[in-house]
Amino acid sequence: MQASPGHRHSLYCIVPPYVLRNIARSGKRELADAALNTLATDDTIRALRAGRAAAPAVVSSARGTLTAEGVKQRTIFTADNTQNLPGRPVRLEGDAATGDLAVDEAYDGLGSTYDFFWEAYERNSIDDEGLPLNATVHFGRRYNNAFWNGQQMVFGDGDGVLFNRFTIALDVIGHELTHGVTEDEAGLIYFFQSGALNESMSDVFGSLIKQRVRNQTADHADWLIGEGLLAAGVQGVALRSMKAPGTAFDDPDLGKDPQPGHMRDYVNTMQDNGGVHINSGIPNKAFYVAATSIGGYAWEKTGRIWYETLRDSRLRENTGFRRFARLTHMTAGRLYGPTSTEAKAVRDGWAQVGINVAALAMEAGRP
Amino acid sequence: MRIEYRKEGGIAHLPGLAKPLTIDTAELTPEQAAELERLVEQSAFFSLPATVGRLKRGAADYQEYHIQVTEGDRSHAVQVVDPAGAEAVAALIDFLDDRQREAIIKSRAARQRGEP
Repeated sequence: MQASPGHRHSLYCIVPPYVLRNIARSGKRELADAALNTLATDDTIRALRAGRAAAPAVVSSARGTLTAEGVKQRTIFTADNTQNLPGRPVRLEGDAATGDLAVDEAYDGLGSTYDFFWEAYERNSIDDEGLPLNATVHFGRRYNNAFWNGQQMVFGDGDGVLFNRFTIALDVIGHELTHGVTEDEAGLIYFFQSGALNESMSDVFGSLIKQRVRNQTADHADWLIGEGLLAAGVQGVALRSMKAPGTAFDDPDLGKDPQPGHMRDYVNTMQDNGGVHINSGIPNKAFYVAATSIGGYAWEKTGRIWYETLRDSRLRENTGFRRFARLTHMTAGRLYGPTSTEAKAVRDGWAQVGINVAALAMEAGRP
Repeated sequence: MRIEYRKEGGIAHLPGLAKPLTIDTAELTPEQAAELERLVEQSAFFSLPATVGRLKRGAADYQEYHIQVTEGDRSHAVQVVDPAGAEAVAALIDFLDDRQREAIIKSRAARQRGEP
């Protein structure tokens, strides 16, 4: 078994990052360089942010000049079908469309994702401090995937046999960027249940971004993830269905969508980082049930509950489904009242996937 | 030369693509066999460390590639994560993916002809 990629090495934590960041910003060159070198061993969003804030000549006004709130900073790169990251910049913020479909879809998708988090939750980019958004398209040769490498989004062209280009689906772009948000807020370890929650967060907000662009209420949304991604000839409609996990594809070559939608069907496996893309069907379904029961635009209330839960300090990096469920229920109670229809809808959502939030609260001695 | 190849991870778990693929150069066309031997040689496969590529913290949806090459009495297994980085390793993975794709196109065509 491999070590969890999400594990926080204690070595990196000896000097708190905020101390390094302050040193880096202090303007004393030797100290700043030393702090940046230390941060360089920590290749996370946190380090990127500190590095940017300490850039020469803008030390004192870095926040104001570089990252005015609500202002996007997108850069789209092309890997020119190699695997070199980030590759060659081809479209910067404010540049006109290039005519390269993947470049322009990535640019627009990043924009929609940024706007979603800013306008719905007043979140200023991945780190809520205006982190520039970078994406690389045309990664690899016939590359059948999109991923978040810890710092940026990466999109393949697909092989045309199984997959189309990965920028085709806005929710996939939102999914990748949300991995950055989740890492910044909660660092949910990418393994087993915490990893499946990490995945579910990306599906939830990926789907909400698409719904908001389409101006769809919960009852009109398709709740599919990656519609349009499967190439012609593949038997399926998308990568996943939040509404009906396990039904997105059933193809002789791809196999059958392995997602469960209930705890009784939970899949114990070492594949896929312990089933992170498999068991995410369970919290996905809970969100879908809560959102359709609450009604209206799903990002307004249900999305807000999930977003505030993601920001909750009690959401530990190894949180499992049950603890997460309880936190969403408590958040719904805090935002809308413990006896509100919203709190009840969240409880019902979890009940429908086999997680009894009320009983969990009793166990914890908190009725 | 015999290669066992298995891919997992990525943005979705696709059970059909996670199945292991075994390639024996004896079953390839002479051109493909020569190409594969060249790619193994070029990537210095038998000298590669057990893991190639390094995950950054917070990374998600990356693919992992498990490659085992057996030639005569030597055998070596390597696990690669996205991005493979080294071009020669990426080229070897591309070759293996091409064989997987060929098999899929072939079986799809057979189904369209009504064969089992």
